[in-house]
Amino acid sequence: MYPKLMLSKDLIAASSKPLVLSILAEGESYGYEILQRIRELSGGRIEWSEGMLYPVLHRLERDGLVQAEWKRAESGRERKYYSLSIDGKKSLDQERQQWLTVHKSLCKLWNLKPVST
Amino acid sequence: MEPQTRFNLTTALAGWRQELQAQDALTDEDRRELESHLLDSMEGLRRLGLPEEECFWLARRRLGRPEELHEQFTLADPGKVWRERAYWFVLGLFALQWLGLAGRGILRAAILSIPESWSVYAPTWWAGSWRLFCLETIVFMVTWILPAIAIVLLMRHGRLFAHPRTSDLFYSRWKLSLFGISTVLILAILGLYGSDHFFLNFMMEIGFRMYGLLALLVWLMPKPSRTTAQPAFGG
Repeated sequence: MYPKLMLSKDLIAASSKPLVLSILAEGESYGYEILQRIRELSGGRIEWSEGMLYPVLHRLERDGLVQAEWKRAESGRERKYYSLSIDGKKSLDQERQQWLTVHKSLCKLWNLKPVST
Repeated sequence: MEPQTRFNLTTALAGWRQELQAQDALTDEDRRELESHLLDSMEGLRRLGLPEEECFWLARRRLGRPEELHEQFTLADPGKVWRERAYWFVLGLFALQWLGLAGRGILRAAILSIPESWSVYAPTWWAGSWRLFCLETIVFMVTWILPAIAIVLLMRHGRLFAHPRTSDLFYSRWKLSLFGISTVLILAILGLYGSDHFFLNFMMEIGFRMYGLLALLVWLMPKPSRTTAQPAFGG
């Protein structure tokens, strides 16, 4: 069903928040760049249909986790840049703990060595 | 002479913008942002050496069809859709009220132009007040009950207020709407037994108000929460 071991839709949806928040924790970014980064990090296994990123970003913005600002790039074109807010940082910490809990539990079950925190 | 099918980016972009414009879940800022993304995406593809036309169509496809974008933006902010619906609902009620008034005027004139001699066809116990009865019943049916039934039927068939997330509410809405209509009808019938015109109007008015209130409540009823509040993803 997933020839390249692609992530399932449910998992992609669930992981969208921690992924976007973590990428923004590296510094401000815009939609296209965020998608490129996700593709690069996952080796192409997390393939978002691109237009879906924006509703996610807008929801994070509405929830006060990210801030957005229109900026003009050197090329003269405008882009909407997103950056992490203080609440966003807190939310990312929570997300990290939750995902690591899942990660560690699965590692124990599969007799793998969990990635240390 | 240049071939007529030569790709023109400006025209293609204008066409794409127009398609986005048709999706009312997208704000102007959303469109601006999506366009900025499309241009970024095209630039990335151009660097891979793809011709301009291919860059455009591939970037466009990767971003998703305008209808899909509409659906995803809607799922991400259901509140926006509900605010819009409440707006149309209120507007609809006003329109119904005004159309009803106009309809009443026309029907009144039409019924009052029926010759008095026709009253022989009416049952004897209606004698004297048959015109009033006809007038009120028909006016009531045409201006209130029929539009209400039409609205409920349209909702039932998904022609009105159709949305995948609300479709599971249709059955309860349908029942509640039916309940509302029967309340108005029962009150109107009770009103007919009243001794005067004033009582009939009074009861019908209460009925309308109740139906309107009920409809508004049903309409703004919260949606059942779904297990995944996140928009669906996937390429």
